[in-house]
Amino acid sequence: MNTALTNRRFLALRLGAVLVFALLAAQLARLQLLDPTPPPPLATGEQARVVQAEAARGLITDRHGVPLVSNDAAYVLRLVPADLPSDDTARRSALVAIEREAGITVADLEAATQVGLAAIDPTAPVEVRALSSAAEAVRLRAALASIPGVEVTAVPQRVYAGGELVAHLVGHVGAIDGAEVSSYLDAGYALNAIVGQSGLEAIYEDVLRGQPARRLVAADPTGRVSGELSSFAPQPGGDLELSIDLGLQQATADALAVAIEAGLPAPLSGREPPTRVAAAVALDVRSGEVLAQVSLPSFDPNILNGDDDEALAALLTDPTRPLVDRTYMEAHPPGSTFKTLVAFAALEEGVATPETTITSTGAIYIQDEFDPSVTYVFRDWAAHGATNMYWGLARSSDVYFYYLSGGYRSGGVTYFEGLGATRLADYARQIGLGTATGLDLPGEVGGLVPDPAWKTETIGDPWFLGDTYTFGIGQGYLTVSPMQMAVLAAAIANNGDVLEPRLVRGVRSGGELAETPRVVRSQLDGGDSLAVIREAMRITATTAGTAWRGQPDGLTIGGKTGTAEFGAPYPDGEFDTHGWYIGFAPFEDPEIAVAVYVEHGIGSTHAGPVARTMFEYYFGLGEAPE
Amino acid sequence: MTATTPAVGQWARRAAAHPHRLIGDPALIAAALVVGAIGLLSLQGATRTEDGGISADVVRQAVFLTVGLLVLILTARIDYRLLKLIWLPLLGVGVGMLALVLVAGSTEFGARRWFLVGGYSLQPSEFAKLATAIAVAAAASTREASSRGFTLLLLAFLLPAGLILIEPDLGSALVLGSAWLALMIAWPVSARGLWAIVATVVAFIPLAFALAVPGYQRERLAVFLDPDRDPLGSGFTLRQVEVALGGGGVTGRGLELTSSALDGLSTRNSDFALAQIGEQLGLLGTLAVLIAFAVIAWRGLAIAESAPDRFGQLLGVGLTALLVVQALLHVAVNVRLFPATGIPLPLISLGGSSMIAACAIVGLLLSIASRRHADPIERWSGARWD
Repeated sequence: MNTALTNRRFLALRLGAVLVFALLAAQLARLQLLDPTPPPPLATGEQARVVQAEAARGLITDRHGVPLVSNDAAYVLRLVPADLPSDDTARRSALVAIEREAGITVADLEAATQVGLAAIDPTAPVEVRALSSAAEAVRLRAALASIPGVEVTAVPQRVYAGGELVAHLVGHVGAIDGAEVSSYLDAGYALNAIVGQSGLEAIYEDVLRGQPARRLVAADPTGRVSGELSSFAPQPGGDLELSIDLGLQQATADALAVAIEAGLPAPLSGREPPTRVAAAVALDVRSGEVLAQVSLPSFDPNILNGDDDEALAALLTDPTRPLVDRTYMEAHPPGSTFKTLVAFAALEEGVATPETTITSTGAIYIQDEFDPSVTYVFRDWAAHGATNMYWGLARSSDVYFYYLSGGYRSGGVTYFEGLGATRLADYARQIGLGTATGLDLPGEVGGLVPDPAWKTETIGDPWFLGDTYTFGIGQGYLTVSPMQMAVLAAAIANNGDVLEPRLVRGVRSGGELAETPRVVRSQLDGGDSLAVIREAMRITATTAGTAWRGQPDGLTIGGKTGTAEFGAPYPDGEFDTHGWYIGFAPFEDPEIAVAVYVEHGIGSTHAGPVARTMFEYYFGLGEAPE
Repeated sequence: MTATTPAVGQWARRAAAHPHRLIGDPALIAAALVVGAIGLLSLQGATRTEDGGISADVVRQAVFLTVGLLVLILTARIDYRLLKLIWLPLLGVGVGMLALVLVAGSTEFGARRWFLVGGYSLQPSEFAKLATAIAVAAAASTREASSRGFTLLLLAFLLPAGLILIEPDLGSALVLGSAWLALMIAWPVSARGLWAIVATVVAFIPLAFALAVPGYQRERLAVFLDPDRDPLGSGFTLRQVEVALGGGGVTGRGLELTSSALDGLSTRNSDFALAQIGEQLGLLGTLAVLIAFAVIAWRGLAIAESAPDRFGQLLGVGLTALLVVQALLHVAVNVRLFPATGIPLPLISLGGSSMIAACAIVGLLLSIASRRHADPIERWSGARWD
């Protein structure tokens, strides 16, 4: 059965095996007999151990280099359990000396050196007290110098110079969370490392961390370090340069605070007190850079980093939820600001032209499809008379947009063919609603773009014409975040680029700035239609339109207001309303787009002035900022 | 006595007349036992409890070894020709497990290679390698060395190998690839075909490197070429492995070391088992392991060459290659002749799947060996299965 060929092949396999075995045997002989690698220079009983120290964490500045987060030294008293005297009496007297000098009881010291990390690795330093000043550190170091295992050292501490103004954006750092321990350990962190927990500190953890210093040291069997064998220099973390303009941020926050108070409804018995909440975003329409991003109420970032448990508890249980950034973590109906998109969709789909004229008598009446005796009324906020598209937007005629979205049909005759909910939803998604914008912060919501399929699936009811009508004026199921509306306004302004907003303009390491690239998420066709929308928004921001309160003197802008009802009706049938404003400027060659959200308020009256303040600051108009 | 007595007596007489039927190949068994014993001793030395007692790892490994021996006896007793009938379902199960582990497996060190079953982890690639070698050998045994047959054999190999690469487990894929190549050589594929395979492999190395080699593998390769690139990270591991081997010298530092150059290395009992043996038992220990595997290679090929049929011949080559190439790769990594890829040393490294698969290989080789001298019963059963 064995041919000459198979015999030759078996011989080849044998020879191959012999060759490899011989090669490996020779290499083993070289490594073990002829040329053994010497061990690192260690004394008897010593072992090599890798010791790691985190590099200086990167700083965070605004676009002009104003520091928002920096590093400072904090002084701490630490014990290295393994280095304390091992003899019981000597150990006892050492602890008593520490108790006398630093005011920590011996019982507490014993506990600190025996639980937690100390139980696993007695060579890891345990922090037993934070020291109030450098002077105290100097005094303690002198007093305790003779005791082995006691360290008085400076440890880096984050200083949040930006305070409440940028608290949501920069986030905070803290000890590794229990659930994430293993993934951090895999990434080379020590168990007691301090890592980014929220905001930019968390998202850009890898950049801010840099490369830790690593030393190969000789250590005796108890872990005590006796010498250094080699070392690897740390690489400091990169600095984040934000696109935020701190001045604009401040002006926006001040204007929002005024708007909150102005927009509060009169307190009514039996109702929850209204929440003092507002948010605003400004984007550079050319790059997608975030110029301002403010959410009120804010909080003192030092509470998250400090030891004040009471203040922390108060912050966590505050009913206004200050930790939630309203610019991107929550979504609400956008109201009439959404009409800009409805108009765009209607133009693109040929449902309407700029000259399409529709008459609002203050409401439209729809007969029930199955029971003609039932008539539904869809109100307009005023009787606008006959308007074309420009004036339909400028006066924010609800009837105009009932027609564009749902059409009008009466007595079996179709008078106007609308977009329909599905087509409208497609356009809303194209401009980025319904999905997160991709902003570089954690926990972004996508909001909701409803359509008939969604409603059947989620709510279980069929989609009614009335749902299309409320969708067409930006109410009902549709929810969006202010950040999404700012992206929408920017896309209208820059003629169709749906940009990914970017808070970090670039990462600076070693003096060089690596700029964050501009990312276009999608591109809208229909520049002609967008030009119509921009012109309509220009008219809206004139004194004849609803958005006039957003326009500063000496500047032409495009704007659109929105006032969306929410909650339960008051006894007189009126609702609480969210106030919205979106806009861009300058009209001729847009640079900046804004979106303003005031939780209790009217778009024109309360959100408009905030937008105006933002434009004024950005273009250096009006009163000089403080 | 009962009716079975004549049968038992007949069996005993035949066993006395043909000792190879009982123990198949004494040298092969002896070599495997030597390797297993050295592994268990080294493991106990490295993991012993503070008072010198038996460690939990040794208990686990002893359990694996016992199960392995049972598998060995079982596979040696069954007629390997049975496998020829079920090669397709075997391959299907192997590939299915590989696909399943990618979806439902647990992730460790960034790779999806394991199923967790009641505290034990099962590594399907170990069994898939075996199934693939059996399938390729079976399919090749009924086909002439032609290009059409070659396509089928290539597919039967590429499917499991690709899934293993996705996990990613470069080491196992390399072992399987080498075993397949050995099978092709013995098939025997034409010299031109052989050159074509070699040329394809060489041509695809840059492409595979660009597409399929993950970042950590590139880093390992870079560190392999220049250990000072990262002297405290993965380069540190390689240095410590060298120091361990050097420290062992010729006679070793003894099984029970108080401190080892490999301290703190989590894979010292698996991926760096040979370096540990080298530190404990010196060059004598490592050469003993190497020689034992050389004996396994020699006997395995001899068994294959004198197998009674073509399937036995090819199966012998494939199984021997699986076991021996894996051992050679492990040694090559440990003596810094190959980049670190995490390959266990068969019959030694801590791990159940690897141990049981290795025992099954030895058992099947014994099954082939016990049938190489045809006797009447042999012919009868041969007629039944061929």
